[in-house]
Amino acid sequence: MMFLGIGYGVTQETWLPSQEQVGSGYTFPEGLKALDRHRNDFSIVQNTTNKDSAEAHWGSTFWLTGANRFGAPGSSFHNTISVDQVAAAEWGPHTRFSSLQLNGSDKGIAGPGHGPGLSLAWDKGGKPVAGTDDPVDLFHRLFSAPSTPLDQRKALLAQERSILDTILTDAKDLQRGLTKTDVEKLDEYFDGIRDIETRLGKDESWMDRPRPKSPISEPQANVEGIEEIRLMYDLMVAALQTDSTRVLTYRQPIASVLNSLGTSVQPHDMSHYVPGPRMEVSKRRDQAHSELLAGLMDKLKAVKEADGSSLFDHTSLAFGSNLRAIHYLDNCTTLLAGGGASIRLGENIVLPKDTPLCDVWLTLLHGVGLPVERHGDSAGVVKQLQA
Amino acid sequence: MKTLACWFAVPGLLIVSLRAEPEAILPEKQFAFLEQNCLECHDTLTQKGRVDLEVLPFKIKTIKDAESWQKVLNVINSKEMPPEDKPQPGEKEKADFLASLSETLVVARNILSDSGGVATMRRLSRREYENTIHDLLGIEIDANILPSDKKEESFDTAGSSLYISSDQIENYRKVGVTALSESIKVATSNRQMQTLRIDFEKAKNPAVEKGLAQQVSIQNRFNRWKKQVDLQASLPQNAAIRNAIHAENRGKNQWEFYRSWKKITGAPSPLEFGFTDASDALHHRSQWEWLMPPLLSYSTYPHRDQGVYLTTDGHAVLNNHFHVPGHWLPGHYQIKFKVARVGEQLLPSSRRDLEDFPLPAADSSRCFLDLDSFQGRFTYGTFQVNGTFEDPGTIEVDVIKRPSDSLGFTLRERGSSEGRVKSLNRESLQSTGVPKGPAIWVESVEMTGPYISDDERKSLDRLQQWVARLEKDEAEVRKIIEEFATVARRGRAPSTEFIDQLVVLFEEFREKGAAPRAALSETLAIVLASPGFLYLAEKPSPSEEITDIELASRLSYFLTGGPPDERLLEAAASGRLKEPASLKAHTQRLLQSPERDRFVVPFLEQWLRLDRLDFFQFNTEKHRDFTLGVKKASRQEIYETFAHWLETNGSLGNLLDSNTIVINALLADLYAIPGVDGDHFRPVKVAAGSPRGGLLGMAAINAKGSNGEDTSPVERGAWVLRKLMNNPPPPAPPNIPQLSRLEELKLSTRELVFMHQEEAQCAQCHRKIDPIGFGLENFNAIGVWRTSDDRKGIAEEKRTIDPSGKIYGGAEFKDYYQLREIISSNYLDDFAHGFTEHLAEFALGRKIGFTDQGMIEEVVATAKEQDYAVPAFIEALVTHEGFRRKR
Repeated sequence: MMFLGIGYGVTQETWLPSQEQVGSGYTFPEGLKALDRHRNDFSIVQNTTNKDSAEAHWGSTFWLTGANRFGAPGSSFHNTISVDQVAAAEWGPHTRFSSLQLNGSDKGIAGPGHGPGLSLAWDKGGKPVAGTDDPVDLFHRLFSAPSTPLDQRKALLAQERSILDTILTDAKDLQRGLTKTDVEKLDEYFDGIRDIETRLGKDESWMDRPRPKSPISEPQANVEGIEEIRLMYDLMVAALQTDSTRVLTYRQPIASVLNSLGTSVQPHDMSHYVPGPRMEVSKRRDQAHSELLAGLMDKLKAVKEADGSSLFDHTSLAFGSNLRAIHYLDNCTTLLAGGGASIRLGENIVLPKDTPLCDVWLTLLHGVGLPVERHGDSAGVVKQLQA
Repeated sequence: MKTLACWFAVPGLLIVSLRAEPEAILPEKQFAFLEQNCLECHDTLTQKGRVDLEVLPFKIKTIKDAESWQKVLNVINSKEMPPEDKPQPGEKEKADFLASLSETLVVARNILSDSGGVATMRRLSRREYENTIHDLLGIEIDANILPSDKKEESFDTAGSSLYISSDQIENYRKVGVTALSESIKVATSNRQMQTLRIDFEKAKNPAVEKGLAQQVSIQNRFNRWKKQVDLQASLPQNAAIRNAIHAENRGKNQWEFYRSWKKITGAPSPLEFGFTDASDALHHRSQWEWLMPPLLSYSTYPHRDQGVYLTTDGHAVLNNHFHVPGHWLPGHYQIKFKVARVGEQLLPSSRRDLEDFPLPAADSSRCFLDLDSFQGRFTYGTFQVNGTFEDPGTIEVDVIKRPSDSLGFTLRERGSSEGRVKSLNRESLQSTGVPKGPAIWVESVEMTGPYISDDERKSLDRLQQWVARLEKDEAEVRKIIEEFATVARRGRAPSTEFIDQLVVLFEEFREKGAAPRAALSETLAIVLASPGFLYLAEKPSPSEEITDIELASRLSYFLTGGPPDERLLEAAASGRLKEPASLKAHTQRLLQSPERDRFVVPFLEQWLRLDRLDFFQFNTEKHRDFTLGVKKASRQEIYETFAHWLETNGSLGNLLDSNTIVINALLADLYAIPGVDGDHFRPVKVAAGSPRGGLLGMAAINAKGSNGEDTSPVERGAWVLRKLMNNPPPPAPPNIPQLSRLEELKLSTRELVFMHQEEAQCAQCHRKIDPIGFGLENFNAIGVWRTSDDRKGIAEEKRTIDPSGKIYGGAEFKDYYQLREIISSNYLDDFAHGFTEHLAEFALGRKIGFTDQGMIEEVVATAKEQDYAVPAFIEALVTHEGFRRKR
């Protein structure tokens, strides 16, 4: 499963197909033009929403979770598990990495668009999951054989474990006498330690299995904007192709994409476009995203399995944001592709107004063989989406 | 339960008790709106769309109620309701209802998210972690592999949102190992200061000569070739082909002709003249045009045997880069420049009439230099150049070298990579064909360091002794780890079991072949990744009062962003710290220490949301004065101003309006205030009628209320409401239909924004926000005073700025001065209240809710007795019993 989050939404006038033209015969919008060659292999899904979202500049925080920010009394921020992590919990044990979280670097320029979080992913406790914005580092984690010999690595692992034990001793000591809230806070630390332990366990069981040979060469360092996305897409395909992981999220850069379009329009201004230069930039951003996405789909299709099917046929890909365009949180930007979740492809699918976005995520989970009961504020599987 | 139905039955007087039990109640007068516009379909009987508004309680007590009301708000905002075919409410009526409902919802959210005064145990934020490592080990480190912890809407001290993850725990160890091994390296070195002097001219002059010789040679060779080609082309037998080539190149530049030299019988090959082919020859010729003049002009400057000029044309040979040597220890270094203003003295008068190059104007605005990072991505600052060739001035800049930092610099005239000089140069090139002459001469650069402060020396000495003891007798390791852990954990001793395990680990590192000090670094780094170090744990007594040692940490992390020093820990150990007199004395002491900048800077940056200055790039073509260095100085103005009032016991009201501003030469240049020389910030009295004085007149505040190009009255107005008037507008609501037809209309900024008030769903907030923003329209996007709107594409007759307006529900003003006057006289108490809430939120690491209003009001009252003196707020807060309580 791949989730590609773009933060600020799209240019609705030129990206969304008309809601009147349901099904496969819709007039292809300008913003999707680059995807024309794949038009039978993706669908646009309309009218979904995360009904509890009210943050009009947060395109990613609740995108995959559907949580209510104020859902926990006594606290001004609350989140729940994201759909990718639901899948990662099931599939994680089968791959070297349970899931991979990628982030856009947007070096030098901060700014809203995605909202709080360390990546698109949130763990089962609703805490942010860390991500990486360094393609080179990611490449080496995926494909580079460690330079130390096996027995030394085993010894190191043993040492890591006793270090963790030591830290745990201190954590238990600290825990005594804390208030209930603080004990809960410290649980995050214990969770962190447990995650490292799980990873060590995994490292151990994967230790004698050699890393896969990389289908791509080492990426260039310090690449930004459009090129950065292209690079990350390559890495994501390579990770799926080698079955290094089965769950990937990518919180994409915004500011640096605009920079690489050669514009001085700022992300927030772009998102609040009005006819004129700002809207033009927003459209060009959509086009750039569509070109990149078309390239990604090309690559997924080019990877063939023994039975003649392609990686694309076994992948479920979602592209979008919690935002539609401008300040709109309804009709969230949603593009689904790939054969992995048995979704109807090639269509403009118009759902009843304000269908929970989590129904779509639930449908994807069911489609990939994870029939969980619910996700976020889901009401049920969307039959209309199923092929 | 009060529901709509009940209110109809018993319309009664509503008494809202503020402090005792805060309540979120939609005012009674809004019932009529619902009745008229909603109930026809959404009463209990009809329940169209399964929505029954009659049962919705007007007093919002649960998250579910809040959500239901949020939906009502959303559908009216998005114009879904009332449906188009039904009668519509009046715009004013609708705006009032929406404003009332969104404000009630904000109150409801605040009540529902009130933590009841419980401070969640907090982890050190990255900023505090870096400070703590510095105080503990005596060197500055860069922990940017850890998450920054900065928030969009609260402080980086907010415990409940300071999460931790497995990656982070591993990264703490990585950073810890580097910090320890580097600081041990410094601690055990001789810590000798080193000095390196760079005389740029030694390398520069030969490079200029060489470049010049190259260009002269190119020019000669090209001209000789051209002459030969011309000669052949002029022969009668070549007339036809000559005309054909000319015809082919019609409309192109004259040099294209020579690309076709082969066709001309008898024309020599460019190879004979040292060019690989015609393209190469043409390329060099065109380069010569812009490479030659600056070199030529440089070679005529006087005093270039004793120093270098900061030229403005971006010529590679003329750039000035330098490095702090990579092998120098991490620490603080001073860079000292000897500099002079060039002015009229550049060329000897005997030569002035011989030179085609314009003399540099004696323009004091140009007498600033930028010290940028090697690649120019960020700046260390912009510094004023004084002095003459005979008596050069001095500029001293302190820089920090962190482990693994390669400290490289680029030295150039202010803004020569962007903005000012770039534009000046372009204009000069267009009008005279040559770049601006230089304004600054640099005799030498000298780097000295590392400078080690007394506190750093103490930390380094302590570390050195631990290493020495270890290397003398490894049996000491247990004691050393225990001592280190106790200091690192701010005076709390670690458990025996923890130490036991650490000793075993140390021995394992040794067995694997690590040298003693390397094994020590690895072991101690584990302490620095353990929760006893990372969390500011507080274990309250049953009375909820924290211990003295915990109080010492609260105080020092609040006022110095770092761990308590020895004197605080001593006071805590003696049990006297919590006495008000002692708390006050320590507070005053800490606020006078240099470490107080670690409170002033992050607090102001986050309180006033100065991070917005980095959300966009400034258009330095349009606003040529707002270079990175000026932006940096404009931030500094805010910190320095606050620090000034803190030091001089000045009133907080000075931040609203004041006749004293705190600036340096660079900002004086931006503000056009004469007579301020030098880079240090100092108080300056402003003339009556100056727009400067108070936050509203500051460049950074106005610049953050822009998009880098044009002003944003909305951003500014909302900021004033939030930060100065303590009356924050509700968050920007989602799903409001955007007014998308405006860009075509060539409207002034005021008109553009005024469109907000056309529609009720916009007007509900914008009628409060926008007038204040209009009052600030005389400040352009970088805070420079203007009388004419410079937005691109406005009709000329609409450019004159009209700053008049009326504060919603308040006084009218005719211009900025009156607006500032109204805010500073009528809203000082509100400002003080908001300031105190933010201060407490920052200090206590939690949201300030209704539960805390008692404490806040008491602190404000105490400060008011002292004329709102800035330190009085801080003293009143730390001596308030709420500061000593876990809840």
